[in-house]
Amino acid sequence: MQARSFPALFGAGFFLLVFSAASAAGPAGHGDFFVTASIAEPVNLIPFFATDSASAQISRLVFNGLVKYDKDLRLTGDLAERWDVLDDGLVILFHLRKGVRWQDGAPFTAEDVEFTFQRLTDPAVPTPYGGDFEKVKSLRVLDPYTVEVTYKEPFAPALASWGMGIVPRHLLRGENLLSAGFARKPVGTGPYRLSRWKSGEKLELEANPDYFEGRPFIDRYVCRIVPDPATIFLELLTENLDSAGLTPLQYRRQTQSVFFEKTFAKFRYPSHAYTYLGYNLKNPLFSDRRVRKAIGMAIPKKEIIDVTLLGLGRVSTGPFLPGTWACNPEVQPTVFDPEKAGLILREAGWRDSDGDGVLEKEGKKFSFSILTNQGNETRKMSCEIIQKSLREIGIEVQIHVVEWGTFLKEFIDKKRFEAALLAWQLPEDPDPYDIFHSSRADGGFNFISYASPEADRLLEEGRRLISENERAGVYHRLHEVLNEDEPYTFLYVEDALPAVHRRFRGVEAAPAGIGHNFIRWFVPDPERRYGVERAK
Amino acid sequence: MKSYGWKRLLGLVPLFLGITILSFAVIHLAPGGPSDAKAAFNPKMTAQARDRLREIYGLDRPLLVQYADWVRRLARLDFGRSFVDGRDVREKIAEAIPVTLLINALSLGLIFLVGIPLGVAGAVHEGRPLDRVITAGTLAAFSMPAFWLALLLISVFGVHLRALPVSGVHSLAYEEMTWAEKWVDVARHLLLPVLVSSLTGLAGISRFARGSMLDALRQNYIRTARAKGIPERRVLYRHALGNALLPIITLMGLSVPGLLGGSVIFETIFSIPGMGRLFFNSVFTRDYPVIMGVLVLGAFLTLLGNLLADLGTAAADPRTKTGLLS
Amino acid sequence: MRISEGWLVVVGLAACVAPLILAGQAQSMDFTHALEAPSPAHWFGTDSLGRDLFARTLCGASVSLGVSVVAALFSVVFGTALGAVAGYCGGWGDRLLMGFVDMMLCFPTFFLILAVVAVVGSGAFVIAVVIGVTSWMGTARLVRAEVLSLREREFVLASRALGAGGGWIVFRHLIPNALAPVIASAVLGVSAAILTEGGLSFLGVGVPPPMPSWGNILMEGKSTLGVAWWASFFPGMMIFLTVLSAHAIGENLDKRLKGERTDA
Repeated sequence: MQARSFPALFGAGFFLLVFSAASAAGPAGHGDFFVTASIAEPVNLIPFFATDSASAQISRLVFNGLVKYDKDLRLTGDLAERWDVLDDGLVILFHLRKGVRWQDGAPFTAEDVEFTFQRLTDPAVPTPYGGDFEKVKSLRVLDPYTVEVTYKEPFAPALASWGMGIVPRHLLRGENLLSAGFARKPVGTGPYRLSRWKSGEKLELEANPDYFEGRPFIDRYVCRIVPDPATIFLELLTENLDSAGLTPLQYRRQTQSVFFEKTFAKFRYPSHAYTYLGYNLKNPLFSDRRVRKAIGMAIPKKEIIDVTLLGLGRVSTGPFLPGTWACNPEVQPTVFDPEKAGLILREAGWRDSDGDGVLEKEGKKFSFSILTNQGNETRKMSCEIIQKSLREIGIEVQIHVVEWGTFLKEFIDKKRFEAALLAWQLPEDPDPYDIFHSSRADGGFNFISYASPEADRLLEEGRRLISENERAGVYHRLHEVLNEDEPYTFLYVEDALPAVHRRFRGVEAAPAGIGHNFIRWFVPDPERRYGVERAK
Repeated sequence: MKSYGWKRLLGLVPLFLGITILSFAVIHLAPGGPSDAKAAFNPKMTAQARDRLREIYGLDRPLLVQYADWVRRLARLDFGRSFVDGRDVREKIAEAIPVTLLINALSLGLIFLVGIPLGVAGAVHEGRPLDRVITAGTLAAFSMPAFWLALLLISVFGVHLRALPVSGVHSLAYEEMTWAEKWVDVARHLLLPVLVSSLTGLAGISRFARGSMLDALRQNYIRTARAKGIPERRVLYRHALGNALLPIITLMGLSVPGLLGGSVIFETIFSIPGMGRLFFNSVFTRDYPVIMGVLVLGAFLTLLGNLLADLGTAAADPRTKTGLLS
Repeated sequence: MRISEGWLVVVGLAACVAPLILAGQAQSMDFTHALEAPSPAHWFGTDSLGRDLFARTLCGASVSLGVSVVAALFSVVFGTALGAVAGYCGGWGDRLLMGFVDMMLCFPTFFLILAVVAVVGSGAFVIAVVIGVTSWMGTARLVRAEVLSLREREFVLASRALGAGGGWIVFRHLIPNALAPVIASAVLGVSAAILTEGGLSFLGVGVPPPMPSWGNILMEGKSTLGVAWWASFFPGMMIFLTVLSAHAIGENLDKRLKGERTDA
């Protein structure tokens, strides 16, 4: 029996630390706005429907989960002060923070947790996160501040799944969540409270003065909706935005001016996503492992990164974030070797018998198309480089850029595709079960129909084990298996390139990015730009 | 006159039905459904969750039933609820439409205010340098890809000169402004969008006005007027212009759909939360009720524009008693 | 107006010849020469994959012109057929068809195109067809009006008296005689279609890569606007000049036809 518990002091100590570091830069006081932009409008702020990145970003400021990830991507308490893992991981006992209030003043209790769980598992609520809670056998409220969750079987991502935002029972009981006005006027426990939402224009959030970790220093968080990326950059240049993500080209070549360097701080760290080329393994073309290996060998990953990302990224070797515990550092990227790729293909029976520069086997040309989704210039350029490189070893490639709705229905659901260039977000818990397990091939997200008994076994084991060390061993092996099998050719991990106005102090890059300590960012008084009293 | 109006109105009924059928067909015959777009490739979205969505939206029923249901609700002015965020479509359209109408009305005004004098001047100076300059200038404005022009204007006035806002409709501090400041603020934000959307439309109207004026000048009564020794000014601006302007009214009604369609592009560039953006977003999320709502409403606005133009012409010109104007 | 005709001829020739000799160059990437300014080696500079923009722009001419000419053809064929039938038949058929025209005219065309292209997928051919299918109404009205006025003319009446069938009369007499203004409107249609294709590219639903079209070259140029002016300047100029020329020619044709008629 292994029990783990984290003292609440841990979190408090962490914030004290940041606090003192911040004081060194000048007095931290309350005031000023933070203005950022999103390409798309948030769809739904209720945490279990907030699947798009714009909604998730806002939802995180309004709601809290029981646990959260800290700046080093370790789980720490949020609404739960601490927790005990009992019975070999079958039971989690959450001890909730006391004295936390909803933004409307009502107290937060275990009832809210129970209510959130009921909604998440309610068949009438179409939430994509329901699957995480299917393995829960029961949830019991022991007292207003203690919740006991029992699982049917050990489930490693269990604890992380409780990072799901908790919603208030007293406001949502008996409401139809799909049409509830709550989605537009959410009430959470978080550091910011939504005060204004002008459709298509902006969302404004006010600092929550009663936030349990202390009132955030920045008075208002404004998210403007700016649909065109070119316009976002122009707005940043004119200081109408305080922060925006840069493209590699902007990072390298358009932000070198004295003005920009003086006004904005630029950051660079690996994003939590990897881009890959996935093969439809049901297609006879790709059922031969040698063919996949050969294609992988003929794709110049380094060149793709140098050209499309201007070097601001790294080669990806598997479905884990480089440098994290699940990622096997031994797995090396495939060496770019088109000649060897040619030999392997020859071995597999592909040769250019009619001299037209394209390989054939049994009278069929080696020709396939790569699908990618519309609206991503980097992916489109990557496709074009792959097309060119494969042509050199005698493979003909077409590129299809399609829009999401069509993409999912026609190509993924009906499996009418040959290869696809896409990216997966990497959640903090590394479990890639949904993506590679053979049981997820129909209707799930193993759309390439990958089925390997060894990978299946490892995936099942990986989510059953609780200890991180044991899981690491399993995932390291899985990483190797995927590398040998090459159901995907893993391409790259892009760097996130945010720029933040220099008047904000306390901004700190960490494995989790820069937003992790947002509530401790502040602007020294003389540098403040916005404020209600100023406008009057 | 009154009966003409009624007849016109009655003729709109089958037209409107046709519009609803087409709006419905365009979107329902397409592959991909709203539940797919909503899943947005989330690895946790299970197949059951997607089926659940289909049921909730009523997409599992036969097309005809869906259509009948939709039209029945449409008759009560109920556009349904958005698939994406569950809000009333009327509410969403009501939020988006004012700014689009404002910009379109302003540009329409600007186009006519500038385009007609340009066209008339061209006609009066037919074949002379002024005419050529006007023709070349308006044509040049028409031939620019709108977003190219918009980006150029933004980088000059917004970024380099910092004279105008880059995008959006309001400043951040809008809510705290006084009444007069609000006016100035919106005007500054709308200057470039209105300019861009009217520049491209200028060519059409000025060419039309020029042709119409030339036609009028060739008429016999003008020759008579001139022969009678009426001053040239009076001939031009009283006699000829009055007649030349009549067909232009019709054109006004016909330019509504073009302007509305073009709004997608400049609303994207200038981050304006209008109908164009709303439509674009709903197409990509397969938000059927919103798509159909916007299409029907757009068509309705055009119908209204045409009707007003027709009635206007009929009122101004006693010769039109019956028949279609085109 | 000589200039505009000359320009169209040059662009038209380029559109026919460029894919034959420059296709390889338009696709060949040279990463060591990415985003280079115009030079004797690369007249229009290079894009972010190091491709020669001169070759791409010329090859883009065939795609852009191809799309718009096919679109204009569709719209002419469709519009002429419907207009002629409506004008010739008169009565219920006429009312029904013109009702359809009125209905189509009510839709913001660009919305319709966007909806269809977004859901059907954006191949060059799809775009051409969709633009064509949503832009034939003007032609239909034009042809109907012409046919109405021709229908009662002597040669038609004579032909009918000789026992000619409806189809024969429509295709042999009415359409050829109504064709002149249709050509003018078709040229105008080409210029409008070029702009529409550009607009679709801007919204990300234009001709897909790696096929270069003026619209998508311009769009790619947009993302490098602050670094490489040439990447958006040249395709933008091509669109501008071509639309301008086509429009000028179309109007000229139209004017000459009208002139002829008033003289006659």
